[in-house]
Amino acid sequence: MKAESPDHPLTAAEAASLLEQVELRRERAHADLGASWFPLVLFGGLGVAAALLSLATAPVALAPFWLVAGPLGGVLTARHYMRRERRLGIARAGLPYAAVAVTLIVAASFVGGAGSGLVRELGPALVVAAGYLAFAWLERSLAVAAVALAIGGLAGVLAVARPPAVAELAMLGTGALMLASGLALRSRMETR
Amino acid sequence: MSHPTLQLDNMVHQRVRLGILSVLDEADEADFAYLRGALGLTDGNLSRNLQVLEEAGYVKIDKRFEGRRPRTWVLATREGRRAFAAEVRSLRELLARVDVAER
Repeated sequence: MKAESPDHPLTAAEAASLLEQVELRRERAHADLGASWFPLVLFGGLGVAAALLSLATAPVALAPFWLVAGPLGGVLTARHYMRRERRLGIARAGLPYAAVAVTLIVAASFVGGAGSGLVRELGPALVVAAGYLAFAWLERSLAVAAVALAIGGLAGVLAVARPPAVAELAMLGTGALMLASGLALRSRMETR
Repeated sequence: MSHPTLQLDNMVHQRVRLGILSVLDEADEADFAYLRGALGLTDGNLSRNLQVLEEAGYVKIDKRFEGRRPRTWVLATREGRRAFAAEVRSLRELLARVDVAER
């Protein structure tokens, strides 16, 4: 069917084809930009390692650990994104990501170090969940949003169950979720 | 309300230029080689269309040196993003109108 404007003769099929092209281009750019597997694997691995160490030996002071590991991981992540963007030739603005990352590290360390009771034990996991929701919004990534919601759900389950060493279990679970989803995203990228 | 086709912007509506803005709507910037590969264009064709978009104020072309190598990055301006969003909206409205007319 022909559209009714005499100035711009355009068929519905042409309009549909243009919209389809738009979506294809956007999807490809979105896929090329997606590198969220790296911070998920890095910070997930750090979380699992710190929690296991804390559970196996004496409790590790987790807040100071993250004050060192967090910025270091942030620098490695920024480097990974920059190298990838330079190689591929497509980039997103880094500032919003950096702002979310700094807020996440500071807030999680503060809540974990200065809070008490459940806030100290599960607050960091909830801060991580909120941070990853922000990352998901910036990246327009449903997969990252699902990770954030899973971490929030895990914190909710632990708040109800209240097992011993709940802070360490929260970090172990959060780290494991991040690590597993990061590896899954990485393998999905490779099979594309 | 005017017919959606009257809201189509010829500057953006052209297939190659719409493709360029589609990529730049998702990313904040893309380099010349990426756009050429993603859109399957020749250097000349891409250059001409980028020039049209730049003259319309829809993209900004930024030439930088990475080491000794020059590299051309392209960014969509606020006007470019706005025009792209309006174009996509108009195309969707047009399709919706055709759907209603055919029912």
